[in-house]
Amino acid sequence: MKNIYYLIWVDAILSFKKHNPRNKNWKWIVFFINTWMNALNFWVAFMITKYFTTLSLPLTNFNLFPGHLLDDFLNFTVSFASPFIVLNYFLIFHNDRYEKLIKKYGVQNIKYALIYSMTSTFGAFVVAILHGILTHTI
Amino acid sequence: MQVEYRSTKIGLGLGNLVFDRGVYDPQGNNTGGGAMQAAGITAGAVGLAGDIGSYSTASFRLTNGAYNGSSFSLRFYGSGWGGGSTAQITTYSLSNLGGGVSFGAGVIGTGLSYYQIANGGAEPMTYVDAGVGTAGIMTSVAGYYTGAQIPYVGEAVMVYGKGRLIWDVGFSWS
Repeated sequence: MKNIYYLIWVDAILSFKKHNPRNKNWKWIVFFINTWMNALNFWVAFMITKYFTTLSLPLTNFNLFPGHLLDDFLNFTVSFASPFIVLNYFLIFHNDRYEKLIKKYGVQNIKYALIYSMTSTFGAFVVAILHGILTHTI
Repeated sequence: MQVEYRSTKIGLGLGNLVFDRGVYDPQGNNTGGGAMQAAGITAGAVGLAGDIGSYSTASFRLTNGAYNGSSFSLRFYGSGWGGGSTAQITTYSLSNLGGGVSFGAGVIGTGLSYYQIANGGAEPMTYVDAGVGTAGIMTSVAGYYTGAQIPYVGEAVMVYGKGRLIWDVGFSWS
């Protein structure tokens, strides 16, 4: 049975390398894109849970820098992206595990990475708008 | 007691970055926000430059190649030359660099917006910025995975970012 998580990763790596053959930073960029999509999905789950239930995961609230620019980004990264930074690194890039996964899954006919990325970003925006309407922020 | 003005945001081509207008004491003296304001404006300009760069086909080099001792020698190639030759010059695509910078700016901007929404500190403009940043990220990711960006979205986002940059800079300095 194919694992959708690995299918997305393999398709992301192969698609990126196919269309950006000269880009030497492909590992960082693919890692960054997919981890950010994971974080957005986690944020969506957080927002839905927070709205419909009394359960609400605590957000980090670092206040290390003057102003809030760096603090807000740091808080989002720690709260929503950090679990996936660790997970994705060890499941995909540690010991070049992606090479074995590419051999196992190969080229896909379906654009898993693109569909996943588009769905994640658009879904997060829809949830943000709905949340704004329901809470009368907008 | 300090009053922190947190509502001024700066829209970038592929997203938005939030910058503080300053942190003021009750007498109205700025007690530390100036550096953040400057940083925000700089970030905005870098993001916008990244957007413009992402539409360029040019390339550039940093050194004169291993054959010539790899000394620092910045040079732009309007033709988009891919490097190589006897001198073993390595070139970098301005489009890749610009796309990376603007994508990164969009990611940072949307992260800030979504954190504010989750934390209950959002304002109406936060949603607009989040939406524009999201659209920008979508077209960047489409470019990375398919080699073609979503038509008109990148341009629309760039126009929005430019307008927001001008408005924000003008507002913060007025």
